[in-house]
Parts: sequence; C-alpha cells; structure tokens
Amino acid sequence: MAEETTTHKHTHKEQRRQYTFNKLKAFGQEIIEDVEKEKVPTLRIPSRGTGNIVYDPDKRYYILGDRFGKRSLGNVKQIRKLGQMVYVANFCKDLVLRDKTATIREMYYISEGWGIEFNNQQESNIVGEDLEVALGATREDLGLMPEEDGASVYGDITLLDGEFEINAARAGKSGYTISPTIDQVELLDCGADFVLAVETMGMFHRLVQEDAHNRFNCLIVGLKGQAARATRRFIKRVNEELGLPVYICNDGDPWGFHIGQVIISGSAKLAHVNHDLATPDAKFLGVTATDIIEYDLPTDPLKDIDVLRLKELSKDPRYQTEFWQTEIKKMLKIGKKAEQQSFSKYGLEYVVDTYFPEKLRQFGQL
Amino acid sequence: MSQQAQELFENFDQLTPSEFFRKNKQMLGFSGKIRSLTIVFHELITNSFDAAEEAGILPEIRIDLKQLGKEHYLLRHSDNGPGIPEEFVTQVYCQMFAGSKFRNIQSRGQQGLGCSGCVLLSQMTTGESTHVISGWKEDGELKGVKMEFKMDVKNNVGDIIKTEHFTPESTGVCIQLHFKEVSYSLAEQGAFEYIRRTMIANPHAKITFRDPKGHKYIFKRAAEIVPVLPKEVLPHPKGVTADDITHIAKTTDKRNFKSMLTTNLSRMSSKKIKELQELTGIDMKKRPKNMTWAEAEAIVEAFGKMKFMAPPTSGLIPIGEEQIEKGMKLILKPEFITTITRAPVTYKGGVAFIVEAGIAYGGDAGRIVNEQRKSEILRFANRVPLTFDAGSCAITEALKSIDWRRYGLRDLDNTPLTLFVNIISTQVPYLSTGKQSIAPEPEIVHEIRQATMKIARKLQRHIRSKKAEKEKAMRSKIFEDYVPVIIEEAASLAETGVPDYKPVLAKVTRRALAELMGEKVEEEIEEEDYVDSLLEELDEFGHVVDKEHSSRKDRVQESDLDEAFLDDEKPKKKKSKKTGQSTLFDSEDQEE
Repeated sequence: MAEETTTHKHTHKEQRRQYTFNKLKAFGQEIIEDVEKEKVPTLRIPSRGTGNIVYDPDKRYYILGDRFGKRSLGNVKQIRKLGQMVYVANFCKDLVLRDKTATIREMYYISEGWGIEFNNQQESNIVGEDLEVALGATREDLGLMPEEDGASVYGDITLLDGEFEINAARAGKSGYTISPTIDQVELLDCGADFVLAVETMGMFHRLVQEDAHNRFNCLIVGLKGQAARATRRFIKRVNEELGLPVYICNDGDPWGFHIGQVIISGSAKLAHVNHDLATPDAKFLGVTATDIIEYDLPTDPLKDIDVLRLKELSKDPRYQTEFWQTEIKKMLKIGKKAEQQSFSKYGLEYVVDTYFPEKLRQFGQL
Repeated sequence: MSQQAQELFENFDQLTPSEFFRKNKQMLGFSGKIRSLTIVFHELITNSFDAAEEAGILPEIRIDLKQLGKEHYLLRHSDNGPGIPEEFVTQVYCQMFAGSKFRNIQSRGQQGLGCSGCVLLSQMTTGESTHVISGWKEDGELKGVKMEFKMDVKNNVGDIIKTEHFTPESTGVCIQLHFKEVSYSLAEQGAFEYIRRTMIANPHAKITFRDPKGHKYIFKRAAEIVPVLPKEVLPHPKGVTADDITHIAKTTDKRNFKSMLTTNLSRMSSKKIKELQELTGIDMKKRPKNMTWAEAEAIVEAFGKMKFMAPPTSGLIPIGEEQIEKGMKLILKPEFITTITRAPVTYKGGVAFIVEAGIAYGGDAGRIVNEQRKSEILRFANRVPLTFDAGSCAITEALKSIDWRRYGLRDLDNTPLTLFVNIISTQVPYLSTGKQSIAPEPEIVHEIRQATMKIARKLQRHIRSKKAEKEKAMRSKIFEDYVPVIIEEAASLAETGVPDYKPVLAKVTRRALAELMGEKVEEEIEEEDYVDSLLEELDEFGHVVDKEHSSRKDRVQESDLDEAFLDDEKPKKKKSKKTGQSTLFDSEDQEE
C-alpha cells in the first residue's frame, strides 16, 4: 500500500525532477550542437550584481534585471567558469538521476578529481549560483543542499519525507524539522486552516504548550530568526499548494519586521530564486508599533542602529505600503521597541488567550 | 682630496708622511682589511689605465694574487702601458704627494695616496721591498729595467737596492708587492667585485686575474676604442673656492688680478671683471702675489651673486651609451639592456657634469644573495667604481627615490637587475675623504632620476611585452587544456558522442590571441546589440514569470542604469518570441 501511495502521489516531485534533468541535459546539448556547427559556445547568465537586482512591484518580490554576464568557451577568463559549470551540471544530473543530494562543500571536495577543479569554495558557490540562474532552477532542484536545517513545524500536517509519513503534530514537542531537501517532501494531508510563523522558539513552545494549534486550528512554525531557504520554501509551498494563509509574528523592531518581509518579498541576494522562495500573500501580524501602544507592552528604547535601520526600511521598495509606512513612522515617533515575548507581562497565557485571537480576527482569520 | 692633504702637510711639515699616514690611515682609504686591498687594486689599475690611454694603447692588465700566509698576500700587477723610464720609477712609486697641481680635469683620481701609498702600505705591514720591472721606448728603442727598492719615508724618496737592465719585448710595467693585514674577499666591497665593476665602466680594457685559489678570470675586452682623453678646462667662477683663488694667485705668472682671473677661469670677460670690481671694491690691477685671504673670499662671494654663462663641457668625456652597453652585456649577459648618456648640465651653477645610466635585466644581472638574485646598484664616478659608503651617496638616494612600481617592478630588491650610474665631472663632489660617495647636490640627484626613469620606461616596455608573450603562450595552453575536457564533459552531460572540436578550438585560440594583440574582435560588437529573453521567464513550472505583468517600464523608471537598455528593447522582444524556448546560447548572432 505504501508503494502505491508513493507512485501515485509523487507527481510534483517527479515532475520537477524530470524537468530539472532535461534542463541539465539540454545545457550539454546546446554546447555540443554549437561545436558541431563550429560555433563558439557562449552562455549568457543574468547578472547578479546589485545593479541588476530590481524590485518587481507586480510580483511583489525582487527579481533579476535585464543585464547579462557571459561565459564563453572563447574567453580566457570565462572558459574555466564555463567548464566548471559543465562539470557541476553533470554532477547535478547524476544527483537528480539517483535522487540524492550533496552539499556544496561535498561537491567542492569531489571537484578535485575534475578536469577543472575549484580553487576555493567561493568559486564553487558562484558556479553553483551560475547554474541556478542559467537554468532557472533552484539549487534544491539541482540536488545541492544548503548546510543548515530549516525551522520547526507543529500541527496537523502530514508529510511524506522519504519513506516516512510524518504528522507534524505527532513528531514530539519540537515538531517536525524542515529538512533542506524540503522539495523532495510530499505534502500528503493537512487539517490546519492557516500558518502562524513566529520568530523565536520561545514563542513556538508557548504556542504548543497553550494548545494554540488546536484552538486556532493552525500550523505553528518556529522560524529561529532569519528564515532559512528551506523554511521559506516550505512556507511558500504550504501557501501555494495547500492554499493556507500565512501570518508572521516577530519581535516589534526593525529586525523582526525584516525577517517577516524576507519571507513575504524575498531577499535581494537571492533575487534569482525568489520566485520559488517569496510568499507575497503572507501577512505580518505583529508585533507592530500600534501593538506596543495598544497593549502597553514593556519596551526598550530604540538604539541608534535601530533608528538607522528603520529609516533604511522606509525607503526600501518592499515597505512602500501604507501599513508599513505608518508603522515605521509610529515606531520612530515612540522611539521604542518590544519583543514578542513581552506579552508575558500579562501572564503566560495572555498571548494565546487574548493577543493572537484579537489580531487574527482583525485579519478575518477567526 | 689630495689638495686637502697637501694643505694639511704644509701646516704640519714636521710630521713625516709615514707618521701622518699611520695616524690617519683610515682617513686616507686604507681602513679595514677588505677595503685596504680594494684600494690597492684601484690605485694600480687606475694608474695603468691612465698611462695606457694617454699613450693611446688599449689597456691590458694581468693581476696575480697569491696567499702566502694568513692575511699575507703577494700581489703582482703588470700592464701593457708605455712603461716608466728608469729615472722616474722611484718618483712614481716612492714619492708621496708628487706633482699635484691645480688642474681642472676629468680624471679617475686617487682614492688614497696613489701608487706610492700602496708601496708604503706594503712596507709598513711586511717590511718587504718592492720589485718593479719596466719597459719603455726611448728614441725608438725598447729599454728595460728591473728594480728592487724601498721607500725612504723620512725623505720622501726611493731607496734603490738593486737595478738590472735588460731588453724587453714590449713596453709596460710590472710591480710586485707584499701585503699583510689585508684580506681578499668576494664581498660587494672586495677586490674581485672591484675588478668586475671596473670592467663594466671600462669596456676597452682587458684584465686577467688569478685569485689566491689559483682560479683564473679573464675579463675580455668589449670595445676596441681607446677613450678620448679628457681635456683640461678652465674652472668656472661658480665652481671655485677662496682656497682655489689663493692657490692660483700664488702660482700665476700674471701681473694683475684681472689677467690672472681671465686666464685661469672660464667665462671671465672684461665686462665681468668690471662687475666684479664694482661688487667687491677690489682694485683688479693689484698684483696677485699680494692677494689676501679676505680678498679671495670677497671674490668668491661676488661670483656667487654674478651671472655667468654655463661652463664649457668640452672637457667631459662620457663612456657613451654604446660602450656602457657593451661592457654590461659582456659582464652581465642580460636578457635586456638599456643605457643612456645625458647631455651635460651643471650643479652649484658652475660645475658641469654628465650622468650616464644603464639598466641590465635578467641573465647574470643583479647579485646572488642566499641563492636568490637581487637587484644591485653600481655607482661610478669618472668610470671608477664606488664601492663603499653607498648609503649616503647621491646615486643611491636618487635611485631609491624612484617609484619602481610605476615601471612594472613591484619588488625592486628581489629583481635580477643591475642599475648602473656613472657621474662624469671635472669636480665630482665627493662626500668623504675616501671618495666613495657623491654629495646629494639637488641637480645631480635630479639628473640621475631623470636619466634612470627614462631608461626604466624602456625596461617597462620590455617586461610588458615579455609578459604579453607569456600570456600568449598561457592563453593557447588554457584552450588546449580546457576545450577538450569541457567538450567531453558536455557530451557526457548531453548523453551523446564527442564531436570534432578542432575547428572551434582553432577559432577560440585565434580569437583570443587577436584580442591580446589589441585587435577588435567581432564578438565584442555583438555584445552591444545582444538581446535575449530573461532566462527566468522560461520557467514553466508553476513559478512562471508572467510576461505581461513583469512590466519592464516600471523597472526602467526605477533605475537610471536600466535606461541604457531601452534601445535594446524592441529587438529583444522580437527575438525572445522568435526563439520562444530557453535559448542558452546566442546561436543566432554568433555567426551571422
């Protein structure tokens, strides 16, 4: 029976694998065809320089602009990179074929046996990115895994991770840890209505202890600070594939704002894969400057660096909505910030009993 | 400096030269064991060169240095010069401070006490007598004498022990001296290095040297021309001191100041005498014999304020670019060499000098220190190597002040490079009595810098073209190494066979080399109007980029930079439609 489930429900993963495999193969074919026509193979790769990263207000995330870099077989400086790309592509094709993953570090060591090896890991990182951009595939698609794990998920969602069916409400108090290979995980079933992502594991455990997943019928995601690629990919998939709304609750300071914003609009640095990472429909729930005032939260004064960051954010294209402009101005005006755990001033249960229900109602979720 | 020494002796005439010498040994050059021997070599070689050149003979010298005991050497030095007639032999070798008169002439000059100084050092350290064999021509007949003598230091004359006449086969002098308390060394300041450097500045000479270990070095002649003899020129008013004026006044046969000054100094017209008389208030009709020191001082002071034509430069005979090149080539066998002889200029307003410079790169250039070739500076004054006191010298100062990185030498110290600088002047402004370093007169330092920087640019061009040559080879190799492996790997990626890649390999190699040579490659023009669709837009997997909504206009407005791409807009859209699918390579515009 397990067998049947696998073949039947693997469509997303299999389709994506097949697609990546074909792309890699086509990359080789293009080169060979050029050589057969006595042309010098030259690859155009969208530039990832800061000048070529533009915010797309329609897509609501950063994308790469129209500028290209070149990798030509006929250029002394580019031939190495092009060669390395071909080797990496072949390596990735093998990974995809065998359904395996490797870290870039592992690939770096394997490259020592290649015709053109890497001088340092920096070089292998860049070539890995080149391939992502050139093929329009993410590194996860290519089987190249980031080192770090993603966040924790708790709640009623059933996943197929390898051979194991896992329900994130029965995976221990810390929930299911999002693996870097999240794209190979199938989403089998889900009983939750929405996702509540929180910045700290402290708040994650508070929510679990107060039975929030049952009371709100939601998935609880502990981001552990700036969200890893895998976490962002998971949130996007849950949002798109399962249609679950996403709410983010972080500390009430510019850094908390931005952790939320990167999940919503993607980062500039990963502009080439934001289409796979950004969740433009996710909502920032709190802690807002308004919350600080209305809930009369214990606060710390803004430091110089906080003020500076807030001013930067106010100019950032991702913050050009009325909501953000108002909140940033308000925070600058009160000159104060508050952590999400400061609600415990009113008792440990307050945040689940009062704050979250009130906020979620504002968003029409409860 | 011998002038100064002479002045000193005029005041201390009770002191015998020997006693003075003992007390002032270091002051007169013979200080330190290595340096003493180097100075002996210098005096004897210089003497031989001067004699041969005056007689129009290409100098050829044989030097034989034997070690008889610890710090005990026997030196045999013979030349092919005109020889010394018997009656002058002891005068040359035994008489100190002989025949020095006020002469404004470019000369190699003594660094210590001349040949007689060598004899004195020998006698002082060993007590041995000196042997000289001389052959000379007299009335068309060859005559020869073998002599053994000692120096009578008290009376400043030779004390002949033995004389033997013979008929020589050719002219020349051979002198044999014993020395103790000296040491032969291969160090930078040693005798061997002195010979090496001498040969670079005197390519018309030949020196055969047998070292204490019996090893024979033959420094061949690189040029077959006897240098033109420098002519004595009258000193320039700006270049004389009160002491010089007094000296001239004492020795002149002129009857008044005016004629004394006009005949003994250059650029002195009657008009200038008049001006001088007005400035000093001294009657120019006075008799020179009665000139006072104060008057001499007043005259020199007035000279300082007056304007004169630059001094004549006819008395300066440089080695010449070609000759320096020959000398350096023979000794250093460099990969690249460049030399320059500058036009004469003056320092202190009245002393003419010429700077000559040379750079040898690669080959045997530079000095080996700890098995690594380092750069070296060879300093010369009137063709004579300066081997001591490098730190305070104008040449060192000038060369160190040059920013060598601008000439492609990132690490001058560790470059196989020989920097040659020769200063030619009738009055080289030495810093110390040893005549081993040149005073950093601003004009001299400037001139050395100019000369060196000019030839450094040539070196830079050489290094650059050599680099380009290397780069060329490297480029070809990169393609030969990489193209096959990349194409094999691509074939494996494409799961097909390896195509014939020779035409492509030939093409990229040719193109890269053309690019290197600065030729415009078609590819670069293509780059300008290259257009392609955004690769991101091709993703069709639920992460598709919606073309209509990606409103390029907005982005263009956001960034000025992107404005540049506006012109490319139309063809871009056309092409992306035409190709439709993921076009990884610009297969279309590559060959059209």
